Amino acid sequence: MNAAETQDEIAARLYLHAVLPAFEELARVSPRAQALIADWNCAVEFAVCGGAGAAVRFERGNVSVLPERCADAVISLFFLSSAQLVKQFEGKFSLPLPRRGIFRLASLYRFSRLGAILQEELEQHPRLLLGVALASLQPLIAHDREARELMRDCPEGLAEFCIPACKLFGWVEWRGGKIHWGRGHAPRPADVMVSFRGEQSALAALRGELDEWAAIGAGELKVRGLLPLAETLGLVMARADHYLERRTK
Amino acid sequence: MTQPHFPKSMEWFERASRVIPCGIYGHAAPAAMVPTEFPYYAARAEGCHYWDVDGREYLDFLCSYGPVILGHHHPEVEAAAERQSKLGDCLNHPAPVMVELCERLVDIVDFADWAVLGKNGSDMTTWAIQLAREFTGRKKILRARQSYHGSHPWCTPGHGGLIEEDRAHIHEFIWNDLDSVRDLVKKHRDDVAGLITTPFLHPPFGDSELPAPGFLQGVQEICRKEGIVFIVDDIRAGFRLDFGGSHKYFSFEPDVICFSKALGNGYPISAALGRKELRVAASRVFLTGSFWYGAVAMAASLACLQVMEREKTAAHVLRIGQLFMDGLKERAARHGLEVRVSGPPSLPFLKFTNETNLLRQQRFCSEMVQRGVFLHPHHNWFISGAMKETEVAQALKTADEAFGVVKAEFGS
Repeated sequence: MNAAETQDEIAARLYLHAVLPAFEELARVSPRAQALIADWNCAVEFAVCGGAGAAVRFERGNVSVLPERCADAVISLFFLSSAQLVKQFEGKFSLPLPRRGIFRLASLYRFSRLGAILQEELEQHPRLLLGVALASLQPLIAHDREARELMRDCPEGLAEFCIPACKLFGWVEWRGGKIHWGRGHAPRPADVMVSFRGEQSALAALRGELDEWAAIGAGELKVRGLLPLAETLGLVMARADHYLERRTK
Repeated sequence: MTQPHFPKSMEWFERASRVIPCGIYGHAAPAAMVPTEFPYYAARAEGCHYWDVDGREYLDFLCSYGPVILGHHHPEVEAAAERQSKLGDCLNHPAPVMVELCERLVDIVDFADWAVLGKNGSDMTTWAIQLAREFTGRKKILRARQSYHGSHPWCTPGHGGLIEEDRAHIHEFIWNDLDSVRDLVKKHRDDVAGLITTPFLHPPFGDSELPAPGFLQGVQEICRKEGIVFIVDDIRAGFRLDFGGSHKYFSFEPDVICFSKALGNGYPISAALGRKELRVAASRVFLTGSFWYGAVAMAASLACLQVMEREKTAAHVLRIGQLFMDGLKERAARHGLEVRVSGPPSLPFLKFTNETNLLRQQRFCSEMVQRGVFLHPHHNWFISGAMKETEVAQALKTADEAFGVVKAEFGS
């Protein structure tokens, strides 16, 4: 396996397991997305040959994302390679094999529009960006060598991330070599709290556009407790940019 | 206690953030302490006291992260620096003081036959591993996991701007685990140029770990047997354990020793010293910098060495550090708090037993800082020769109050 294939494989996993789940939150926060999917009852499966898979189910205005393949998906798109799936998610020309639902491929146009809405909303909603960032940790730690090396010396613990101005909370637990995460307050007092004073600084941080050390010094970003855990998780989250952003810049 | 405010520190930081990435970068960055609860900018210093830009006074248990061993603004060091400054500092040629300083250093370090000078610790650790490669014709360098040897790409604890090749030949052993050293040597047999280690391990955020009995001696034996250059990075601990180098304190003998920090009592200077066999290789490894011949720092260093030897500073800081640590343990116990002291007494550190998230540590150090005793929450502390029993008593009285706050907030 060469380095380029590895890059594509990890990017594909991130699209499937970190970006795709953002559709769930998008359906909750975006009126445009809600209007688009209100009458849509359908499941779309994405599968890479010999690799990762995931599915999105639309049901009466709700969206749920399954982290694996879905046998009863009405539309099943089979990608011969991770690179092909990545192209699809980047909105570039890609021709997946429709294993099921060949006569319903017009629905994919609606899915593409939904993807465009997600792209726009991601720029404005820390809620969506935080979800993608937290969800990216597991695939990165499992498949990205640098992320694994970063976590090697990371202390175990529970981290809470919050943007009080948006009433937005999320948590990550690193224990026993595994990552667990969730939305809302941490299930118990966290070992480290990462709190953004304002929505704009949170957005900038999540987009990788914030001088974090300056923000911490100024009190815009407050970190208390197990600093090495917060710092390492932040560095791993930033690895997602390496796979998802470098292609479009 | 209400939160203190550091309005002037914050004003300077706001200005800094407009033109300086991070506002303050590196080890002095507020992010490394407890931001907004610690001062950011210093105004002046004297002895074991310093004042921040808001006019608050602190007992200094950090000593500028080590360099200030005799106390700030030591009269003999300052006088020597001033004398040399009047003669010249940055000149076309080295000043004679360079020769005098290197002669003095070679005289002080028992195994050394030569010395070279630089400005910072990283200058010397990086040069020393080049020296090991030149001497052996090999590539690999062994270092302890979680050790600190400076800010150059092969060893920086930072993450930005690095490429895989920077560390392609750097391999990590486990501190105090001779088998892990042996395993690496076996795996890279005949390709290990050097092994670099600090005399004790001082990982950030963690307890310091002294060498286990026989560990450094075992490393020395492996290096001798395998033809590996054994480098001791004594930049942090140098002159705070033994005037002749920390290898004497722990009874082992390296091939090269690197000093900086305490060598100049705050003046920018570093040194590497080595044994005779390495002399020719040392002559082949280029080293220089625009300010590396700076004569003022060399004159300050000579004076600093003179004072340290005369006043037996290493013994003093060990004794005062022990007094402080014993007192802290005793006062913590009075509040029903269990603390763990680590590291040599002159570079001590304290953590709360069973605490895994640093919250008590941060609260304790913040409370100390608010009351005028500067203790870093995540980095080992430093004792200076200016610190006496009176200051320790004052710090312990303050610690009594700070432990009370921790107890009230956390319960245990």
